[in-house]
Amino acid sequence: MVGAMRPPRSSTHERERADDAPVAELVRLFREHQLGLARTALMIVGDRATAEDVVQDAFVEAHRRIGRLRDPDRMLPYIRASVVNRCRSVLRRRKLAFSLARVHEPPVWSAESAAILGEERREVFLALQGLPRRQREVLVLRYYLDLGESEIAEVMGIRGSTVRSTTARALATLATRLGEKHDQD
Amino acid sequence: MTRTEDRLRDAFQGAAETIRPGSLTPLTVPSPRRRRRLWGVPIVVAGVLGLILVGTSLVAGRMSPRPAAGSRILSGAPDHVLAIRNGRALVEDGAGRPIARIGGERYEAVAATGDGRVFFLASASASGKSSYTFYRVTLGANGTPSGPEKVRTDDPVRMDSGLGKPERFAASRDGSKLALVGANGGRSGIVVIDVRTGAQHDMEEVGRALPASSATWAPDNRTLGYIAEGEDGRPALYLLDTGQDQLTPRVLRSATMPDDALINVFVVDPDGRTLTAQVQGAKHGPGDDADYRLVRLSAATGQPTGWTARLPTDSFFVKPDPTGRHFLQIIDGRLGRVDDGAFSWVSSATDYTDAAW
Repeated sequence: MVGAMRPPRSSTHERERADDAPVAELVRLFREHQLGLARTALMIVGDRATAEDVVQDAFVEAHRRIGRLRDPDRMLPYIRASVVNRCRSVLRRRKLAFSLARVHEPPVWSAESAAILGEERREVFLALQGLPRRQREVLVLRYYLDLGESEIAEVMGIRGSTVRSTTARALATLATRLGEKHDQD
Repeated sequence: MTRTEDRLRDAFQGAAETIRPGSLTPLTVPSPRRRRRLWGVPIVVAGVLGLILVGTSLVAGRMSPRPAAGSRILSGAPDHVLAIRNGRALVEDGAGRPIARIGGERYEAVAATGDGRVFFLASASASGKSSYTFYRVTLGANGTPSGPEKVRTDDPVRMDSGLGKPERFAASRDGSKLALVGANGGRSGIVVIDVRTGAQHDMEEVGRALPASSATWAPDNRTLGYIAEGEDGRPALYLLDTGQDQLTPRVLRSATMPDDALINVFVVDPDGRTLTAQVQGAKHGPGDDADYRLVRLSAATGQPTGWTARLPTDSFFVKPDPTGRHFLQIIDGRLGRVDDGAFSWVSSATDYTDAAW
């Protein structure tokens, strides 16, 4: 009599190796992308301490959910989206806390930072601050992280066509505020 | 690419460079929770995870745990602070948590050199508070201190005014010289100690009754800065070239700012081009309110340049790290810090006498 065949059970060692792989990938991503992601968050939230917290928290959360992040190709988009979402939460909380707390840390677009950044760059950041949240994010992802349309769409959870139109509107508004002629590409 | 796109990229690049590579906190994850799994608890996985993360930290050269949320603002600063609390010298992490205690008692002051590893401690002699003994301590990469090594001096080092605040004890960046400023014999006095030979050079500022304060060494390891009474009887910032036979201090600027604010204490920044000063604003209102700030000044002209950080109140204290971007503050015995122009508290304890990093 021939019994039903069962797939061979993997050894303990093999199972451990399979569990290690996502963690190792996460550690590699942290090493390679922590700086870039912290800098990206800095452009959105304005100060280094918060930016660093946001990135740390995104990786801690990714580690907590490591069991659901088996595909290494999906990890970086997931973490990028997590960073952007956390930046949004920070900005929302700041709006609520604005009248209650005194913020000591000058944002990157403050007068205090002008000496480090230069007046011209500060002018760009001030103009950027005046844009709606989604437009700011699109510009940071496009012109700092150099992400393509589809990658931005994935990070922000919007369609590619929306990325295109949002970018165009943001650049036009920015050009007007900076007193420049806006050329449509 | 349009001009707007060019400017955007340039602004982003400029802002990005304010976070330097290697200055970020390593990743520390919470202990893994127990999870119900059909095929058992993956203890080995957790172990491997720990090893990988610890290994990452080692590669980055940073073993300290993630600081508390309130102090993470200080990331990029040194990992260790040497603090004097109740006469004891303690090595603490950036969040005010003790790592090690240095043997000995009666420590009054600590001064850092420029490498963040070598510190000098000043201890009041048992015979009385006006003479001092000095010790050199070296911290390991993980904050473990060496035993205190006594600095030999030709004679007992005396400073009648003690080593209170504003800062009266400083070590040069290369660790070759110590300076005490204050008053001896009723006159403003300065003592410079050559750490290698033990020789000391005493200078009495004739005609100046106010004790000197705010000792700080320039990065050339020979120019000593301090605050003392000026010719007009008002305090002024002085620079003294200790490398010359004839010691002649020169006035950098008055300690009084144009808006009647007053410089309480200053340090020469590690780049030598700027000073960082703690300034008390002009008093106003029925309660003599004032604002307090940390201000960056040009070392050449003494004029304000760069950032200003607001402080909660008067500190009479400012200690830079080796990069000049992070400063310790002690305010009413409580340790705080200023990082890239932003103040935050490090600890809620109120027994700090001195601290350096």
